[in-house]
Amino acid sequence: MKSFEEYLNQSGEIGYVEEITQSLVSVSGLPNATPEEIIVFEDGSRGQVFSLLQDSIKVLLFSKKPIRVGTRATRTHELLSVPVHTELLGHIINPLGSLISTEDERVPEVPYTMRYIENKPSSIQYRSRITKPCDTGVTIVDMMVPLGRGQRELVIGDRKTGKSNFLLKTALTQAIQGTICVYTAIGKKKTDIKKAQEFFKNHGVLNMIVIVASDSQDPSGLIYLTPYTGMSIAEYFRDLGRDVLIVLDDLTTHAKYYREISLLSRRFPGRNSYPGDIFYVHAKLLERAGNFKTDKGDASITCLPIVESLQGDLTGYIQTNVMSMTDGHVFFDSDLFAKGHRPAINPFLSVTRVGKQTQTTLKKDINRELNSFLTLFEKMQNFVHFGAELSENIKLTLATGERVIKFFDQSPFTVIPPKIQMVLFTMLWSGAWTNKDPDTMKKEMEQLIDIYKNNRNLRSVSDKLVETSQTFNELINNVKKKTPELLGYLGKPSV
Amino acid sequence: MNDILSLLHTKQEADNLTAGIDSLLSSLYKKDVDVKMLISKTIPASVSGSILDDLAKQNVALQNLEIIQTYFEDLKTKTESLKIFSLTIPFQPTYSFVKTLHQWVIENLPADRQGVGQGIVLNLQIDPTLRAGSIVEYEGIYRDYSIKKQLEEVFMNKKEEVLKSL
Repeated sequence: MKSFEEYLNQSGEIGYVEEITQSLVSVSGLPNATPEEIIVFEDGSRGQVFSLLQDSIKVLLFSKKPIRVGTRATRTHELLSVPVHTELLGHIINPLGSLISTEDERVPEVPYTMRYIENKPSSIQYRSRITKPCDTGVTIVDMMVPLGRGQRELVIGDRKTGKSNFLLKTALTQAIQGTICVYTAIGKKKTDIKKAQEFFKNHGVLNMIVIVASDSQDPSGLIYLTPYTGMSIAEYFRDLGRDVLIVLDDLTTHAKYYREISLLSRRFPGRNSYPGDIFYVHAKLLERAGNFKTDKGDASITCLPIVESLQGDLTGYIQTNVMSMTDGHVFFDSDLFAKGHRPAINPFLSVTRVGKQTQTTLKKDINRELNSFLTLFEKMQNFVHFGAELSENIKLTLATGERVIKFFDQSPFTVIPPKIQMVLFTMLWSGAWTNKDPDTMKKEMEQLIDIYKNNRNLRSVSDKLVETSQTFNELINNVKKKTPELLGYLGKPSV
Repeated sequence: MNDILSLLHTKQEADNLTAGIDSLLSSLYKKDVDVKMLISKTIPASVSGSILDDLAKQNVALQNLEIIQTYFEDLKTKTESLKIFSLTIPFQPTYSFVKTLHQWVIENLPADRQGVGQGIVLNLQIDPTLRAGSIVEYEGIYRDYSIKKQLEEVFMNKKEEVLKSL
């Protein structure tokens, strides 16, 4: 980064700060400033040209340091870019690319490239069809609302319904599978950012994660940049041939900060006082995700933006905007949360437009079966309220339904590999736990999951069952034969 | 009014005139105010004579306070819209040098950069470290023609040669 004097001599243009409104500064002079150009101030602060007016320009400041009226400013002829390199993995960085060191770690000096944060999305000839599944480790999503690598899936729900936890689990599952994860915390509390880092560290995957964070005390300009920096880093790793998962937590906060900036710069307010280009602000970001053709083969950027809803209202402005930009949404229902379901995902109100094309025939079969069963179960539950006598069939359906709902419940820190999910579900479906209550069934399932992760034998038996079955009926038959052996692993030590 | 504005050479003079006009306008309400005396007290001497001549030319009665107010408000607006040509030089100039500089700027600045109907005033700053030459700023354009910058460039580009010769 050059000094102010160097930029002044290079550009030959000067401006003076005339007015300061929070993080927006009005600068007179600089007659040839271009949109989104970086402006440097005499005191070392930097900002980006936000608006061009007749007699002045509005500059969005990135610095917390207060700036004085009369401070000199000059152009840099540069657009905002961030340094990207593989050593970012395992660290928290701010939206300008600087490391936020929390311990005495010394990051080695490595060669890096500068990457613009506002890149244009790739055009259609550089994109390819989404074919690989994106496992989340959350059973209800993997079985009912499957995702694909390169998909953009919105995560929507009221506050405190478990959305961030779901995303952390997804990032963990993907990191274990070798995907680079970029977790973007937009205007979050410092404690939340630290918790996310601790989560990844405790599970031993921090070296696959980059956390791009702006906390709530940062200037609005910096918070606004956060998701764009995260996406640029994701694009860097994609260009290296790696699959990337990017989590944007959350776009509602991002929209609010952009609204604040726009209103301060006296742009005309639209619906709900948001500026007219709020759709564009998010669309240009989300369109940068997808499945791409690179020199090193297909590489994907899977994007999971979070949007907060108010009292379950999916028809809000930002909510519907982002729903129309994404390839589906996972809805976190506060009613289900209140009933104690974790994760509180409503599979009937959730949509995946792309994930199903990545599923194998077997998974599609299971998905179809589950969907029709749960629809039937839902109808029957309403029927039960009448208090009429129930037939054996209905009782069996209700009992199975209860077990399926229990099967989908998952503790906050558990991720379940997809193959064992299918085996356990098939065991449930074929009646392995008919004579046991749902709580016992759940306990035994959790034990089997633990054993699966640590026991080679169980892992190979389960994986083989899934790999050798083409249809759900085949899998049921194969699992029925192996059920005593599988249940026999309960209580055995790990090998 | 352009004749009056052409008497202003520096931003300091323009600011003094503006302050004087503010003071005059705030005193116009007083009973039996002597406008001529007020002008000579509040307006800088370099322009007060020209103002009185201009008022006489336009046959403005000094007792007509409404017209006097409009006149000075108009003068203030025009003074505030004068363009500022900033010049940083390494020495304290004499008044005649300032006048010469001002004249030179008006004559040499392209007409389209001067603005129609507007004048230019100099904003002079002293920086002895420049040694010679000047730094020029006008409408956001900045040019450093000082010896200091040229010497710095020489030391940066030909550092080894200079060190060898020492």
